[in-house]
Parts: sequence; C-alpha cells; structure tokens
Amino acid sequence: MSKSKQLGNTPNLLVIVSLTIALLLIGLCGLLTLNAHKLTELIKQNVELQVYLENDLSTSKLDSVFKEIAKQDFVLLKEGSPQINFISKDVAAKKFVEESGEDYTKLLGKSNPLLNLYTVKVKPEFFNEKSLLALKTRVEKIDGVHEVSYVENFVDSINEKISKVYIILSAFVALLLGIILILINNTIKLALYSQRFLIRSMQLVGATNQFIRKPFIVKGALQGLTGGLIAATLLVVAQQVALHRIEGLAALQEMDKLVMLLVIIIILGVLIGAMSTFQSVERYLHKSLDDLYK
Amino acid sequence: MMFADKPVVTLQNVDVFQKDSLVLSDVNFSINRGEFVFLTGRTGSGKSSLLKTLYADLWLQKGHAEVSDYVIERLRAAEIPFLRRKIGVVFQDFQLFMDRTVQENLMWVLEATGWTERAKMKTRIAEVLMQVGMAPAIDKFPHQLSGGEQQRIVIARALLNDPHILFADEPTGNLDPEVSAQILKLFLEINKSGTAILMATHDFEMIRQFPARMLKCENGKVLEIQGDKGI
Repeated sequence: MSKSKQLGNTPNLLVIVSLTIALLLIGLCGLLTLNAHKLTELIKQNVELQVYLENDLSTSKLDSVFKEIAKQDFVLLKEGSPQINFISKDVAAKKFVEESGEDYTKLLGKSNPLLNLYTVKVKPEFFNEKSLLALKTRVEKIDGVHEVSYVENFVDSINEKISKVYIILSAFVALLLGIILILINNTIKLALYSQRFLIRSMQLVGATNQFIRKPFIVKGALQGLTGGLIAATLLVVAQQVALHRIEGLAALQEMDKLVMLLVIIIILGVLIGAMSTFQSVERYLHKSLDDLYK
Repeated sequence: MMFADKPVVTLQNVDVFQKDSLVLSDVNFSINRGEFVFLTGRTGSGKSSLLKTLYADLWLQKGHAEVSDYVIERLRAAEIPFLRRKIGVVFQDFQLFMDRTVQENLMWVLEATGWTERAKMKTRIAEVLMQVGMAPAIDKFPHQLSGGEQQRIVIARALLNDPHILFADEPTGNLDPEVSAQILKLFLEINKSGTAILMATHDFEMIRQFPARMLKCENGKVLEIQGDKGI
C-alpha cells in the first residue's frame, strides 16, 4: 500500500523486463547485420580470376607465366606473397568427378579435356565488373594463357541480395521498435495510474509541471539504463555461445563494431525509458480531476 | 502587492461549466481579506466546480474572476502553479506522500514552490505545524497519524506559502463530528490570523454552531443567505 504511493515509483521489474526483451531483440538484429556485412566483405576478398593455361606447357614455361601474373598490381598479397594457386588438370578432374558424381572417364576414356589453371585472388578494389573485364583482357595477352574467366554478374548479384537482407532486417527492427514502444508505454502508463492523485496533489500545491516530471523521468531513464545493460550482457553471452557452436563464425567478429552496437543498445534503452515516462506523466498532468476517477 | 481593501476573490457574471454542461450561471460575489465564508448546497449543486474554477482546475469560459490578483479568464497554463502558491487548497482527495515523514512532505512542497534556504524552510515548517497543533508529529509518517491529524497536516501544507485565501472542499468529509468540530475551530483560528477562507460543506450542523457569512448553490445560482434562514 505505502509502496505504491512512493514518488516516481513504477513497477521496476515489469518495465525493466519488457525493455530488456525489446533491446535484446533489436541487438540480435544488429548483431546479425554486423555479421552479414562482414561476410560480404570476406566474399568480396575471395573473388578469384581463373587463368586457364595452354596444354602441355613445360615446367619452366609454367613458372614464367606464374612470375608474369605475380608482377601484376591487382594480385592480392598475403604476408608479401601473391595469392596464386596452381591446380593441375588431374586434380581438377578428380574434383569435378567428386562434385558432379559423374565419371566422364567412362565416356572419354583416358583423355582429360580439362586445362591446368592458376587461381588468382584479386584485391577488393578491383572488385567490380568493369575492372575485372579489363584484367581479363590484360592477362589473356600473356603468352601461354589460354583463357581467363571469372563468375560474371557475381558482384551485382551479391550486392543485390545483401541489400534485400538489409531491407527485411530493418523493416523487422522498425516493426519491433513500434510494438515495443507501445508495450512499454502501456506498462508505464499503468504504473503511473496508481500515482495519478499524487501527481494531482503536487499540481495543487503549486509545483510546476517540470518539477513534478523530474523524478519520474530520472526513474524511467534509470530503468532504461538497467534494461540496456542487461540486454548488452545477454547479447555478449549469446554471441559467445554462437561462436562456440558455429564453426567459422569467429572470422566474422569485429570487436569495435560490437562495442559500438552495445553502446547504442544502452543509449536506446535510456532514451526509450525516459521518453515513454515523459509521455505518460504528461498525460496525467493535463487530465482534469474528474477524468482521474475513471 | 495587494491593497488592504481589495477583495481576495471577485466574481462577475461567471458561468461555471462542468465539461460542457452549465452548472452555475451568472455568479457574482466577492470575498474580502480575512473573511470567512461557507459555501453550501446539496451534493452536485456545483460547489466543487465553483471552487475548481477559482483555483484554475476548470477553465473559466464566461465572465470575469480575479483571485489574489490573478485574472482567471486570462490565465496561461504556465501561470497556474504561481496562482496556486498564493492560495491554499484543502480537500479529501488531496494526498500526503505516504513514504516520507511529515517534515519531508512539507519540505517537498517548499522545494516545489521555489524555496531554497534550508534554515528558513525548517523554520517555516515548524511555524505551520505549531499553528495546526501538530509540532510533535514532525518526524512521524502519515500512516502513523489519525484521519483528523492527517487533515491538520494537509492544512499546514496549504498554509506554507502564507496564502491570501484557503479553499476547502468538504475538509471534514470523512471525519467524525467531534474531530470535525476541532478542524473547523482550527480553520477559525487561521482565519483570525488574517487568512480568508472559503469552505464548501453540506454539514449544516457545523454551520449552525459556527455562524458566518454563507453562500448557497441552488438551482444553478449562487445565493447570499442571511443568518441561518433557508438552511
């Protein structure tokens, strides 16, 4: 009884729990977006030119072609060495049989129709259709090179898919934010209902609205802060669990962006808490006494 | 600054509305400094609405009213708190904070109404508690006090800013007759020290015991009643 009459008192648990759930969901969406973003970056870095070589080149010729390609400025360097791999036609054939499940040797006998090839990793800045086309013609002029290929339209299709994912995710986050604001608003409104006569009394002794609002808003902001901190902690836990469960996820982690996301979640919590409380208090500040009895 | 002879409350051709329905029409009266006035009438006759109009809880839609130098029909929302610091309001729904002591309750009001000096605030609280005879209760919580004692604290709270007039709406509404009489005596004492009082009540027994000027709400009008005729 006496507790509900406390100034600025709202049911902590209820408000904090709904805030925490809301922020957690938003945070998870954010985490997903961060990982997706990093994933596209990685995919872009793994774009390869496939340089098919003429048949029956001597080992020294193979070596000179390798050196010729390695000189080019578009080749991705890793710890100073150019990222070029040699795949012999025998290896390629084995791989093909494995992947397609079709043993063409039965059809063609011993002859292998495949060519030896170098796979060349390309620096990300060359990763667009125009530059790739230019590289293709440049490399094809090298003596001993039969043909150069890359997956055409690959770039555009990735960009398109990723932006679709972003649109869906952000629509989801917006919807979530809307639902959550209504939910929290209702919770705080209900909480303040028990205090409506107290707010009234304060007005009648001549307190300004600003003075009455202050303790409620401070409380709302603190609840938002608590919700934000809990949500941030849960997010870190969820992320750690995911790291252990999903192989290769570690490659997608970026510490600075994660920290930024957590900070945003906490600030969002404080803002939602303070603003919802402000709005609810405002409602009672402008109600007439008769409406309070309803 | 108020002139000594200027009325604290003046109403000219005031219509009192409750929502959109007219409750009282063409109300004319004034209350001088230090006057004690009863406002009577059946429940629903418009006593409360009239008081609410005077402390700007209901908007004045027609007519002219002046309370403690504030022109009510021209009052802006931001001015309402400052009008209320010049008047005192006492009524049943008017709550004390249950989670803090009497002193903290009164301290809160002083803070809310712009007092800053701690020493002066403490002195003022001691003064008003003395005035209502509740000085020993300064460190008690409201739930440790009886209904009559709580009402005295509410009255003390209304007196903090040294108002020109107290508006009391059924201040003895849920108190037994003996305690009611004591509270009324307290109002008379406050009145003697110079504060005008407008008290709405339907307790005619009380009015008979303590005769004073009387206004009656009846059939949508406010009438001046002489003596105890027409009660």
